[in-house]
Amino acid sequence: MQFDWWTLALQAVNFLVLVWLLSRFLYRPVRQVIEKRQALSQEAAEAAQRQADEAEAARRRYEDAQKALEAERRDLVEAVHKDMQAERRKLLEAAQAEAGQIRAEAREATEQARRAALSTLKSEIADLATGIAAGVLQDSAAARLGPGTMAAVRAYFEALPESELEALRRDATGASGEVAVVTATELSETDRKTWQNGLHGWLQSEARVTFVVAPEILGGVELRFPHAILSFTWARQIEEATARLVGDAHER
Amino acid sequence: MDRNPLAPEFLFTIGPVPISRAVVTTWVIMAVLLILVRVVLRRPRVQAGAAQTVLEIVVETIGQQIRAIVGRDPWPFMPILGTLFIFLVVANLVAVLPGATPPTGHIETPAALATIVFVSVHVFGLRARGALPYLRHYIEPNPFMLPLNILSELTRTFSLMIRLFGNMMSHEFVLAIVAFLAGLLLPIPFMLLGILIGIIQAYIFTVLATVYVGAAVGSVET
Repeated sequence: MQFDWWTLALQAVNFLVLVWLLSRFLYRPVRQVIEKRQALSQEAAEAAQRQADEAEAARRRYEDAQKALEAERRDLVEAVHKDMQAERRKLLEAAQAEAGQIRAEAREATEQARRAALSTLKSEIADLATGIAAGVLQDSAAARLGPGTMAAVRAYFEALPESELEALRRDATGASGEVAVVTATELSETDRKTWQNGLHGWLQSEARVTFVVAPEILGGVELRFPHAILSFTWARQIEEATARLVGDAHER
Repeated sequence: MDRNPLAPEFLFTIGPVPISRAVVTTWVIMAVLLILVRVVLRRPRVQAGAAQTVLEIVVETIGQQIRAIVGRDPWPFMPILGTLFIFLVVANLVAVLPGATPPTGHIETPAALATIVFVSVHVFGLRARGALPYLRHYIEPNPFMLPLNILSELTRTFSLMIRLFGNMMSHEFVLAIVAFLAGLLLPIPFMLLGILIGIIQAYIFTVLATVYVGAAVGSVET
């Protein structure tokens, strides 16, 4: 095997020359192109990033504007709500005032009606009381001392059933029986005689008759038997009138 | 057939310098490569054409391989290692041309390339790490390893040379023997196999050189 040093040297030189040639005409241009392409790619990426940033900024602006619009809408709604509340309050106050006025008017009308009714009632009561009083006075005035009262007593006795008349007769003619004639004022002897004779006749017996003065009966007469009282007094009549006024008439 | 096939074949001399066929073939390869890159990259454009794209892919692929092994910017190593791969691929594939012999089939060319790799490794190592830190790795892990480390440097360079030379020379011999015995058509599968061998040997040589450079600059443990 032979080894040629010249060939070794030449091949080494050739390779180094090739290294220089390829470095000059291959690697450098390719590297420049690659770096240029990378730079362009980087620029494109940066441009894309810028556009993305701008888009993001635009999105943020849009969101801010949307928030502002939302806040404005909320404020408007709130203002409208406040206006509505104020209007509602105003209407309510007006309605309340109107209702108060209507109520006052109704109260006034009711009061007037009440007054009118009360006046009418008072008038009717006055008429009724006047009529009652007139009747009482009319009845009693005639019978206070005179034949009116006596006539009323006689009519009473005449209208009595026989059994009751007999009961009164026995009561008046018993052992301790008597009939007390009670008047508001002192009777004259003549009146006493008249009442005594009247009683003897109405009872058809000679019962003992006594005379008692009792001013509280006001007028009229009251016949007191041992076990019964026949009252024809004014006080009794007023009492009956009062009972009639309250709708509760008593039996005499 | 009396000539020793392992001996260089001198075609002419320039003064005292004999010019062998391997040297002439190398010049042709250099010329072809130069013309190719000048034509394709006369006006390199960002919007590359097909040929420019092919060249860019080749360069970028080599750069990616260097980056994967060295672990740093491949451009400082690209002139030596990239040219090594491109030259070896083209030189090995010369075998498929009729009448041409690959320059790597003679010991001088692999020896020259291995020598350049040997020198380049130290240059890159010294430049990257500084003189003392770089030289200190010869006495690591202990100073007694100095002879072995030096021997390792020499033997790996020698093995680099012999591996390439042996493969290409033997392939050339096989082709010659098969052509001599079986005629012209039968060697075609061997020639296809030769293409594969040529590319693989170029790749192995370049990757090993890259590993040595990576170890020198401190990126690769060997």
